[in-house]
Amino acid sequence: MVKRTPILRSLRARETFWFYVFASPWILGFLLFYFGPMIASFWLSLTNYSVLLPTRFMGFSNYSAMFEDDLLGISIWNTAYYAALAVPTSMAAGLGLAMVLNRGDLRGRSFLRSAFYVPAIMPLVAVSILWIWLLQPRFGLINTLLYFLSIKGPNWLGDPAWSKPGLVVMNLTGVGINMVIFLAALQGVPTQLYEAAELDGANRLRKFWHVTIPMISPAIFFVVVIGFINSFQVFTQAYIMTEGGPADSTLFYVLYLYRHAFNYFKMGYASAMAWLLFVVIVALTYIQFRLSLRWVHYGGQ
Amino acid sequence: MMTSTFSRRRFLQYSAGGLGAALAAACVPAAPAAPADTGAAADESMEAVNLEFWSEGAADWAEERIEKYQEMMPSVSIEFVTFKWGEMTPKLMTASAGGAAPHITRQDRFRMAGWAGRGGATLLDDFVAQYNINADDYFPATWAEGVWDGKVYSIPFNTDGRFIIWNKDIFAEHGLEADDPPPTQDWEAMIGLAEQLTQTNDDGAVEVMGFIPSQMLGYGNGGDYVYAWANGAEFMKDERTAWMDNPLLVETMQWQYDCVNAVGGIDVASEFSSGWPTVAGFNPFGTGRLAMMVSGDWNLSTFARYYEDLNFGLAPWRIRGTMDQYTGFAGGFCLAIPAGAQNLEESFELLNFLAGLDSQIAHTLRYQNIPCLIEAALDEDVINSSPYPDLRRLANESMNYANFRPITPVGQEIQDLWTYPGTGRDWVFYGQKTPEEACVDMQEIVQKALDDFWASV
Amino acid sequence: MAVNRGVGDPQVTAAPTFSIYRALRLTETLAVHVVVLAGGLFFAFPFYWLIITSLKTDTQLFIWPPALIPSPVELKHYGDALEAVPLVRYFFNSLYLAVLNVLGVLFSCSIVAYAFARYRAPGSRVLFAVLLATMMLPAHVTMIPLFIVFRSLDWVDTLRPLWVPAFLGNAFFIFLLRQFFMSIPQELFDAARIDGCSEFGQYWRIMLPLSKPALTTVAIFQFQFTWNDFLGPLIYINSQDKKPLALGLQDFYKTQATVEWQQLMAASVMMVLPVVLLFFFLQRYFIEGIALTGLKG
Repeated sequence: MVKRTPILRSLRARETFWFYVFASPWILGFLLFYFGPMIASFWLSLTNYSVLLPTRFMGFSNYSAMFEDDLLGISIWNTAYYAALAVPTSMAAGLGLAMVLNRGDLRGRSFLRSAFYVPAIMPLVAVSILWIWLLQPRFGLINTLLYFLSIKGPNWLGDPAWSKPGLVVMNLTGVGINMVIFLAALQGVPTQLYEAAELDGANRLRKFWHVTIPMISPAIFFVVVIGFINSFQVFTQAYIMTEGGPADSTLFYVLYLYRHAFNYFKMGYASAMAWLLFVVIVALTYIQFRLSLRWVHYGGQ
Repeated sequence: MMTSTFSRRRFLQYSAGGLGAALAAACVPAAPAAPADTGAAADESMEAVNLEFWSEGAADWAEERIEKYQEMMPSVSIEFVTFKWGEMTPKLMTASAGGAAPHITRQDRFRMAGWAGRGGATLLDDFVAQYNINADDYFPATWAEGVWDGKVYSIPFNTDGRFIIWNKDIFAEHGLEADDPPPTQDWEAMIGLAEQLTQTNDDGAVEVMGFIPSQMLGYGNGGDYVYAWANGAEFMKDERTAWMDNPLLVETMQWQYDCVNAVGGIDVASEFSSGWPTVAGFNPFGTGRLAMMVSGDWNLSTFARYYEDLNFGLAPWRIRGTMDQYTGFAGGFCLAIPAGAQNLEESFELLNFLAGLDSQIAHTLRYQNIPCLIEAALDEDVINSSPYPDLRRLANESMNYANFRPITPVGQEIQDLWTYPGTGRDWVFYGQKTPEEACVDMQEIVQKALDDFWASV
Repeated sequence: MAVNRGVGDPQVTAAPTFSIYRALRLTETLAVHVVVLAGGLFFAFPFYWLIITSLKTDTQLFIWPPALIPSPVELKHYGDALEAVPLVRYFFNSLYLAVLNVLGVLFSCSIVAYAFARYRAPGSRVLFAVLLATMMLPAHVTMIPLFIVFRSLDWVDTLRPLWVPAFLGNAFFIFLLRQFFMSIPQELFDAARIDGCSEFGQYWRIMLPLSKPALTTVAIFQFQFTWNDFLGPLIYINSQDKKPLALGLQDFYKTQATVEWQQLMAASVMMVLPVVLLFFFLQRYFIEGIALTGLKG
């Protein structure tokens, strides 16, 4: 029946038709659950919306007020600092772990993979106490390990200079997520490519660099893009563990936004903050997509 | 294939109603908290009334009371929803915005001015008169916090005080008179005592911390307010003017800073305090690693249950320079009716039952707080139910002179700056600002929030 | 079609005739095992921590630094937790939501990702940008408008706001699957099309079977995200009999100062265990993935 429709004669029209048919669930979902709320939040960013009081249109005054907010500046710096550390480390750790746990000669592979995935599924409220202990400066497990390497571990969560690295270390234990993505990606690398590389005399590093990396580059790209999107919205760790301290060093952008939205009855200002963040992440993601043209290889094209 | 057709039919069904709803969402905030579906609700109210009661924390006591109420009132059905402390706010705010607020809430009392000042709570004056509720029956601080602009918006439920709590064994080890309360009236002496009681090992690690007069570094709770009040400081000049740059606050902060330096400085203090969880029950005081702290009376039941061998004292904090005048801190919860709730008559009747004498006693027997009704707090059964009846009596009686946090719609801003980690006081502790500079900056933040509030009313 | 053996597989790379070389390989294998085992123990430690804390007596609970082996062991907290809180009910609510969500995203995200990976259409690039953009606005500011949408559908205090959206796509998974789908050679589909395979058939018979590892990833993630989701149920669920586990755990926080820690930990063990088991059984699809023999390279 479809083939008889004249519009579908040309390949291009046919592709367009099927694109919209197959994409329709999400398009509908977007219209139902995202479009309205997003527009509404933008509109609210132009008001003094407090949830309860009558709302007044304020123009862009919420946006101009952000320039005078010292704590906002600090929260931007903290967030950028955290993202710059968290994204590369969790990407590299996830990839390294996936490479090792994909080895055919590894015994107990199923158990080990599960073990490495465990912290990613722990509800943070239940294990936050554990983290206080692990990062405890004197008898905490992490500094004890560092002690055996003759390194004096820092006062992770109590020193403003170390609190963000401390949260990055915490974040690294959630690396199971990235590990799983890379494990899945590694299954798509054709064995013959490695065999061919070996015939050319490639060593393991060269095989990794010239076969593995290009073949899983779409997954790496995904992990980096999502990593930045999530890191710029980092919230839960600081909300539960540090409450922004010490000395504002873990006052992340969304934590500060949350305070305005729900503690200070300033949903309008919080919405303006959200849209500033939105613009920043969009710009960053756009740059990443432009750069990806140079290093991401899609086998399908 | 089955999934495909199934889903597509579903999409069509939802698209009709949902798309309109999504578009409506863009317009609705213009008329916030508009009560919806009044027509349907009115029809049903002839037979059965459904009341929602949202409570932060403590389910067990209320379930019994609610069952009892439903036996008395078969026509009322009650939906009881509980939350972990602090988690109700986003839900209450979202529901209020969406016109789905509950009928009754049990919420943080000091935040009531924030809700009432913004029109988020139902005025209770008429009900208070109708039910002969008498303000004098409640501890003064607890009633005061429910009043905004001369009108009553909440009924006090339970409260808690703040006290100096000291480890008698550690005091005795240092040859101090263990049964005498520490000299809280003399701030210099307290600095000396903090230094004296602090013990470090050869590595420089703190074995026993003497005293850190700050909630976040010193493992207490609410002390930061107590010190300010003991110094005669206030946080607001009047309801439109903040007073965070009050010289008495600057002085308080300077003393807190000096005390931190006396026990070894911020590096030592923060290394000590960052190693303990700040969640319920965990406390270096309980394990004999902290000589003194300012914290709440709830510790009595915590100590009895988890730290059986602890030998401690508890006393109110003296006003600076006096021996027989004290200050205290009344925290706690109240019951209120959010704005836009339906069935106000039935709602208040239930509220009055839940906030009444029997309910307050039942809650106290279960959780060892202080009831806001004086009669309940001084009830002999209540006092004797404590593992430490003498201290319980002292704590409950102290609520008569307890102070309370500033009643202002920007109370949360003041609290975050003055007591919470990070912002505000950490500027001073971590040497980023002097107490004067910190207080001037806090003043600017709070005054701006206050100006924004008054501009929007 | 051959099973991909992975990068460091000795049968692929080792030369069996050199015994020194073999000894070296063996040493390396051993070293890798030691390091990975140590790391695995470290990573599994939070789970161990949950278990030991759930077995402690009140007086052991707050000893700091904590004891690693509880003595005496107190098992009663499991029974107490089950008695104090309707955990079984919560468990089945969570399971219901998780299963529906997994089915929802598996279907909706795979087909939408297929659209983005396979077809070029006017507006497709813009739509992809919009798709990514939906992840970039903090949920806290869209929470209230979204609540109003669900309230106008009369879905508040039902489980529907927590699973229906999964059937209408999810940006994270669509992007993830698109990345995987775009790695699969286009020639496969062109050939199938010439053979008369319908567009849906190409998706169903070629793309999906070739993407088992990616779909497994989606299933694991979505199960876990739903299982641990707290904010959604907090906002939309009132009735106790509709609460999922992640929200129900709050019942153990009695007051600000009273938390039934051992019961909370016991309930957490019961909550985490199914996800660990699910992962354990599903991760084998990361071995049996399909190498694209003879298609490319």
